[in-house]
Amino acid sequence: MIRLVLYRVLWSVPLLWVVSALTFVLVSVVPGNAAQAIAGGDASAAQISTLSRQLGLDQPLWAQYWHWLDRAVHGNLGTSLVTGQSVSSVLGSRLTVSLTLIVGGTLVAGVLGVAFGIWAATRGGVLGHLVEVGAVLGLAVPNFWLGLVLIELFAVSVRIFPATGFVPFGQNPAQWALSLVLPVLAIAAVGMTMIAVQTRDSMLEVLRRDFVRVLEANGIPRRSVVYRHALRNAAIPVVTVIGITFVGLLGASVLVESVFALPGLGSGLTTAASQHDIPVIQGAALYFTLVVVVVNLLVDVAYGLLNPQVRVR
Amino acid sequence: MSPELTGGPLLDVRDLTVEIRGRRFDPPVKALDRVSLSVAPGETLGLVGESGAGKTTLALAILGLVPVTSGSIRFAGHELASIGRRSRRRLSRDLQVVFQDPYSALNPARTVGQALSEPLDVHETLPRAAKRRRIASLLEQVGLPADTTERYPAEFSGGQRQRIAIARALMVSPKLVICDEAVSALDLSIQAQILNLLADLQRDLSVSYLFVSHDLAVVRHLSSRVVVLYRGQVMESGPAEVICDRPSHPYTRALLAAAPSPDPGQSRLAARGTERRPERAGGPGGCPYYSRCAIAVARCRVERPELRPSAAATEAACHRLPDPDPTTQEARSDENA
Amino acid sequence: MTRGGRMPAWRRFARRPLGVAGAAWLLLVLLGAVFASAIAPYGPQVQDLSSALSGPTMSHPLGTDPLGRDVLSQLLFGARPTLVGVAAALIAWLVAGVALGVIGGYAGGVTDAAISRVTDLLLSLPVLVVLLVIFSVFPDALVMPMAILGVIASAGLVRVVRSVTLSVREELYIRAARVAGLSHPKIVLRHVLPRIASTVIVQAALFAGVALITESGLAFLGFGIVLPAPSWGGLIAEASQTLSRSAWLLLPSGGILGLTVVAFVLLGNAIRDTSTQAWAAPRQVAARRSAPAASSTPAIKEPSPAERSGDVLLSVEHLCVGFADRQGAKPVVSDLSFVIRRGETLAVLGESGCGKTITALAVLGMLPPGARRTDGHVLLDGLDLTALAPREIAAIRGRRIGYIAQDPMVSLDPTFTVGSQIAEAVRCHRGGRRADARRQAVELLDSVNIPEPEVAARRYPHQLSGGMLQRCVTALALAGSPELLIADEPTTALDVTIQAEVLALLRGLQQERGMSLLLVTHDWGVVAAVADRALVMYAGQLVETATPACLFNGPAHPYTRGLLASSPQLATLGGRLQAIPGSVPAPGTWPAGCRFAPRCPEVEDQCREGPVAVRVAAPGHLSRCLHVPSAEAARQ
Repeated sequence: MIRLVLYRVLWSVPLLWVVSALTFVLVSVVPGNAAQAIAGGDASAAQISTLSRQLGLDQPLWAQYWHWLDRAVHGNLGTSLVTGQSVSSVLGSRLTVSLTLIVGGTLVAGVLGVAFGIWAATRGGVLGHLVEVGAVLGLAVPNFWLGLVLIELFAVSVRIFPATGFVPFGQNPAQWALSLVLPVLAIAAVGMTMIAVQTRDSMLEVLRRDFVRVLEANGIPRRSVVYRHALRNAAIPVVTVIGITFVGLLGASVLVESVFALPGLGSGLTTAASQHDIPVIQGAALYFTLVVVVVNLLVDVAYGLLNPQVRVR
Repeated sequence: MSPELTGGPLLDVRDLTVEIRGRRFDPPVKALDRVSLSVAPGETLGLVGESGAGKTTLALAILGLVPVTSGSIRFAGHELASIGRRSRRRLSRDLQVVFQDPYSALNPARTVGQALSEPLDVHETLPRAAKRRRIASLLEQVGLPADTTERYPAEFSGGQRQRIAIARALMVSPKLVICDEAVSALDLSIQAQILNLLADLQRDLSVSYLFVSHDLAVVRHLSSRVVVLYRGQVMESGPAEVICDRPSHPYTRALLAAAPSPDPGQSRLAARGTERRPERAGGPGGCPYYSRCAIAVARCRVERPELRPSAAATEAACHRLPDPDPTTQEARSDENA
Repeated sequence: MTRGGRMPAWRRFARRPLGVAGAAWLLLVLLGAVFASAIAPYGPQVQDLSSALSGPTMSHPLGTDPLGRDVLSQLLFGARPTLVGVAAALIAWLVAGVALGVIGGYAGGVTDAAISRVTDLLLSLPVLVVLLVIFSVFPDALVMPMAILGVIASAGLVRVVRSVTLSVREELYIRAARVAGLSHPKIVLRHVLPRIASTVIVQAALFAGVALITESGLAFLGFGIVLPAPSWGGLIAEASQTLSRSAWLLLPSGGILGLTVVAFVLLGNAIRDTSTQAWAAPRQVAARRSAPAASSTPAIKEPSPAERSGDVLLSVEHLCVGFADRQGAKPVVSDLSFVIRRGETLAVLGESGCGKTITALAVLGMLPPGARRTDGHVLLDGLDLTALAPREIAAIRGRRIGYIAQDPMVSLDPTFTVGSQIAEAVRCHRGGRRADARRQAVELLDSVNIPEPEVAARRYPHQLSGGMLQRCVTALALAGSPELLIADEPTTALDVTIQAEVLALLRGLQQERGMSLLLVTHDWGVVAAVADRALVMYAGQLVETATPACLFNGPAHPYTRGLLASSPQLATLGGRLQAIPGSVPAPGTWPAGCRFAPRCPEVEDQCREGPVAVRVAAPGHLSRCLHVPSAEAARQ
């Protein structure tokens, strides 16, 4: 088990490095763009080159990357080319907002999805078909469009929730919760249907296995067989799907934050991308990757806890 | 030079060793440890053992599906252990196989006709009409109707699929067919049909069999000679009726004693109570049967016995032989020493 | 090309309305994209500010956008870049996914490990983030970022393809192809690819949907398109900006996305079903609730009143079980009657398809889905199990009837230790605290002769051998001290030396506890070793019952005689086995007369005329054969 965790941690280092290097290479491919974009459309060539030198953009690529890496390892992610603020402070608060949205979305998707999946597996019939139809619908409905529909229905026509904007928890907890309800629902929809389908398929497959029959035939109550034994076996692939859902929600957050005007990492990245704000882009990419690494680690640990064949020889 | 001319064996395995790598940090396991056997043209050699004996590994090694660590496999004058890909393909014409599981042996997405023509496509360039005739003739020999070629495997029973598998193996007229537990998954009455079929085909086509099975009775019925395998080593080998009726090696005796007879009068089980099996830790390099053997002595734990002629026309690998009565009590006192 | 009268593929496809609908819609969209300039009622940039943001009208069937542009035209012109993006992503995804998946799964070893590392990496990349980074450099590019999306997302396909390839590679027909001399590339082409085709098709449909949604999302954010060119995502962006004024725009913009994705999924499923339908086995349909059918064969009672005494534990009377199938109801057990006395071992002997396992499950009240008891009763010590409610019969299980299955390696939950499962059974039947239950579990393990039971109790199933596991399952079955133990082929999956031990164990336990044993088997040796009485089944019926000695020395039914003659242990060395010709008829194809008649060497005309009743060959020896002189007519 420890070996598994160590292995995962070891492999996350190259991952972080690859992502940061890739990002760096990509955005630095055309160095003139950044300085040009900041200076504005009608800046002179001299002004642009001055700006380039100021920002260190005239140095060779590898030197720029090395400096960046050196500072990043010490926690300094540079400063925004646009606002001049330090990247970590700009992104820090945004990270919290995004995590709230994504973790909330994963929780909702996970809990509801697993519940529907188990229900569909044990009751079958109409509910089973509903889950299948729901899965297709969940795939077919873009989360940003769903967000707009939710806004239209519950914020514009019937004013229950705020349409856009975010209220920090410290400022007003009730408003904070309200401002998150619609975004979380929008982002969770797809994941919930995927998890429901996987749970249902997984449960059905496990319920067909021999040990279910043997345990029940020897008097273990059906309730225990389904919720204690079958569920634990079925959970193994479901946990993997939940992990994948989380990673998917990372990407989805970019869109949902845009629709609901939430000040998160995703919207920060979108803005930085359109402004060629390289340090912010790199910082955001790094934060996202870190989150993925942690989630993958948690999924692996959960997998090991559930599956003794991985843990014990 | 062709072995039929020289009179030598068709298949000659000498000191074959196959090591299988374990999981990431485990040492490799010897699935086969210096195994030797031979099959003459037109004869059936039975290979008996329980699970883990290495019988399937041996079959796969001969067929080239598993790499050989050391030793030699000579087939029709060629050395298989170190053969190149092209030569093996040419030789595969003469060396075919029938597997145990009739449900996994045929690709469910292809018709029977396509499955049967596969070996023909590889080895011969026959015009389509000749191919069809050959397939039809073989289907008739295995007792299946001609329209079988149009249908999919899902429409056939286990016994019928096994007949198809046999037809496929014989399609290019091989000299040796390895039957890897070919009847073990079949019902008793179907098993009898397939055994008869195999015997008839051997008589008609002069093909040799290497018949692998865990069932002594089945092996005895079809084979002229038998080799007994345990944990990758040969324990005993000799003529079929001797091995299966009056074996010398303690393992073969245990196999025979455990094989339940349909005759209630002969059943030994009713007399036994709920006894525990003696469990001892064996040592590396010793006899592999040491931990379960009722007549083992201290020497058996450290020194591997070589195959030696036994009292009854067989060769057995046991330190306690030749011993006029291997079941004497002195065995127990020796062991306690 | 037809195969032996089977329907051609396109016709099979045409029979699936959903798939056809999906294909039709996609074709419509494709045509719309290609011929947009010809079909669209307005040019893409034609504005009519006076009718901006109108709902559906005669001149604008789908309404207009904030600048008065016709929505229908926007959708048509926007279709082309959208579809191009989806196509780019799909092609990259397919090529990368199938190639890496097949190579990794088939080659194995270092190659596979390397590919697995790469997929791990790809799966960890948040795709949208990567795309945004790319768009920060190339804001107008479409094909390249979508292709990169395809490559990154292909990691999911690689995983799936790899696992299917791995399982296909282990199939014996692959080995057979290698032995036949087929080269690896040919094997992959001919055997592996067709088997992964259906999985890939379904995944491709799903990914096409994902790519479409992703592309629209990017367009929504303003990436991948050169404004003011129309796009589906861009239309949603416009809808979001004018939400307070009019919500109508949401409908066509979201609708076309939704419909297209649904069409992808329906098409993919239909293609998958069409391609596998030809060779897949038919599925079984769940049985509908219906009244049990009346028994059509004459009533047979136990012939000797002396045997019908108070020490009968289990009595099965005229049991009939049927399966519901697409072709209707098929009986698998008909009119089966037998008894088991206390402390007695009854072996039910037969080949596959004779109904012996279904009989055992029927006694437990645990018939598989699709099977129903259509007639007959099962009495346990006078209690009619078939008349009990589900909760009541659940209380019987374990406490009065125990069960052991065939393959011990899959008979226990792999995620719990052996001891905890036995302890759970103990607590169910005897109550008590957890510590007591654990102790009793160890005692049970000891009673089945497991060495070091405390250590074994802490082990997981995958750490134990087959013989040990079967003993553990036996311990579990004994937790409630049942009066009857049902063992369904308990030794078939075990080595022959272990078989003997397990049988000896069962025999010993039975004698210690005075338990009855219902042993289902196909092995004569097992019958001879442990059975007090044996019952031979053929095609769902009892054909003979007697003690093993009578059965062996004087079989009274041609099937029994044939079975004994086929046993290689009883054959003369080198001689021919007397095999029974033909094979067992499948349920539903049973002949009206004697079911063994088509294969019987002693068949006569009268055998085929009608159902054959059970006759008494000797006291305690019954046979369902007309050639047995009926010493006594069936009583009552």
